[in-house]
Amino acid sequence: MTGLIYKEVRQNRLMFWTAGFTAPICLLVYIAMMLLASISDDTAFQTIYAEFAMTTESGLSLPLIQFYSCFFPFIMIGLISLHLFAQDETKKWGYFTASHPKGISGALYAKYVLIFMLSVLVFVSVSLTEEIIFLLDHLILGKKMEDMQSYQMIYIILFFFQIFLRMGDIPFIVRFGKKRGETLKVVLVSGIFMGAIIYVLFGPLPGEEGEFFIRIYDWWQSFIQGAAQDWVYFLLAGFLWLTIIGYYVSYKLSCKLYLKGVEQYDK
Amino acid sequence: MINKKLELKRLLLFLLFAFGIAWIPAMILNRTLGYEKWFNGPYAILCLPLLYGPALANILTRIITKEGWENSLFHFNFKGHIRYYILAILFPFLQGLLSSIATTLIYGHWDFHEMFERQSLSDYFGSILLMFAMAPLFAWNTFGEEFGWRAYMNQKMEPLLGTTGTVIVGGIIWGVWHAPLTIEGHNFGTDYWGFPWLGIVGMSIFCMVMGVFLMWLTKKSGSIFPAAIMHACNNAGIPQLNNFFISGVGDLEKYDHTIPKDLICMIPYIILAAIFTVIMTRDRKKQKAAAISEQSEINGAEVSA
Repeated sequence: MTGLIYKEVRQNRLMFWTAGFTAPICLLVYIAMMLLASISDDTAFQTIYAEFAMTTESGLSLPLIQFYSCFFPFIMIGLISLHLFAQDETKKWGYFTASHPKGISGALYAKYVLIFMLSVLVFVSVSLTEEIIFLLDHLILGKKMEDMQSYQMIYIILFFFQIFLRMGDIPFIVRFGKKRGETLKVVLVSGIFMGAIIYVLFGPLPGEEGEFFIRIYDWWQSFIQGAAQDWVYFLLAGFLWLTIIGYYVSYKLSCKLYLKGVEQYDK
Repeated sequence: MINKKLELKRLLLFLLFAFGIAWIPAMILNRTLGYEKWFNGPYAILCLPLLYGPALANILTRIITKEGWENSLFHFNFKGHIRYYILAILFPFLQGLLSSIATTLIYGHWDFHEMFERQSLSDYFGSILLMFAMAPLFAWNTFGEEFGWRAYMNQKMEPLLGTTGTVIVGGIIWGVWHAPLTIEGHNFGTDYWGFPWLGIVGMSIFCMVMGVFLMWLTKKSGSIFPAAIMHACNNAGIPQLNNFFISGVGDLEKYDHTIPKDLICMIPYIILAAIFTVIMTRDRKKQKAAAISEQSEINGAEVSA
């Protein structure tokens, strides 16, 4: 096996392990923590365990882990995948890439494909972890399949959202370098995130005492059953296609910006 | 020059693994847990050996026979082959379209009022856009089968049986491989005449037809991924999107899908599959002729030197 994808895979093996195993590790850590809490005399642990026992009785604990095990790997891989660009941020490598027979397009193609594959791996990993959680849910709590909730639709949306974010980040990083590109991204994303949190905490929300969130949950249920309004599905389909086409456009844009970025590297 | 005896041995070893890895756990689980619980229920994680049985068989056979990884087809090969990835999504859609139109023509009649009342055009196009974007993601589920059947079995079988032979025998093997699920009603239910034998025959015919397109995609793209995507799109229900075109058969949910009826409605798709088989046979003949002329040119050059 040769080629630029091979070079990326060899250099970033750890990323593949991270993508594949973050979700099951989340589950294992949670289970280990609860086992430890159940045998410890420490009051802090006992409090945690009492809460766990309470949520287990109410049947809430495993869906909570499920939720946590699905979000965390996507966030994790989103954070580390951009390292793919940082490792090659030297003028020598940049100009060598440009002179290579496969050229800039070949080098960036390998990175784009790899980031896509990492996201696919996370998607597969969270899907499988969900099935393990279903099995545990059934064996520990005796739940039936019809009482369990699959978050498959959330995984798909998170997968595309991940690609959507990368489609924006990568050209920035290629043009301005990881440091400046990252700063721009962090300012942008954290601005939106903080704004949303502040609004949810202090802004006017329809309904009283969390009614807004209950309404969102109900809407989500109708959405995954295909009972939401037609335009919602159109909007989602539009977002998915925008992401697919946008990722390709982002690659083309990065190819154009590559040499301008190389000129700005420190080393 | 291919050593046919060795290739046959490798093929038989592969089949032994593919059936053993999938059938033994499937039969044990059918008996102990019951199909509903392990395939669609909380034990679904146990489906993995079955789904990845052919892929594991491919890997094990290559390791045991020290064959190496040549022609493993485990690469994307995007450059110049993107159209096969697009066709991988479109083939199941076309299958659904042709079968639905045939259903209306044979068992129903055109009733546009009924069609639009059941589903609006915007809903239909919205579903298409959504499914076309999402379904390929589930290729990880079907990759295990394709990495076995298309990336190994077909490649070994074609020099032994020819293209048409591979389509027919490969399809039957693939269909029979599904038997532990077919006898539990996974593909056609359990309430039909000739259960379960007719189901196994029906599944073999279906696999034969679908196998033609999967084989064509694999050969043309030189990659296993378009076939995995097409298989995933088929399983995710892309053909059923075109139920929009079925009309005049009464309540669609109560419409009696018998195996013979489904096969009759598949005739247009079967004809298309036959055309693709002819194309593949012709391509193979051309390749063989080109290889022979190249070899004779080399021999001629050696003699003159």
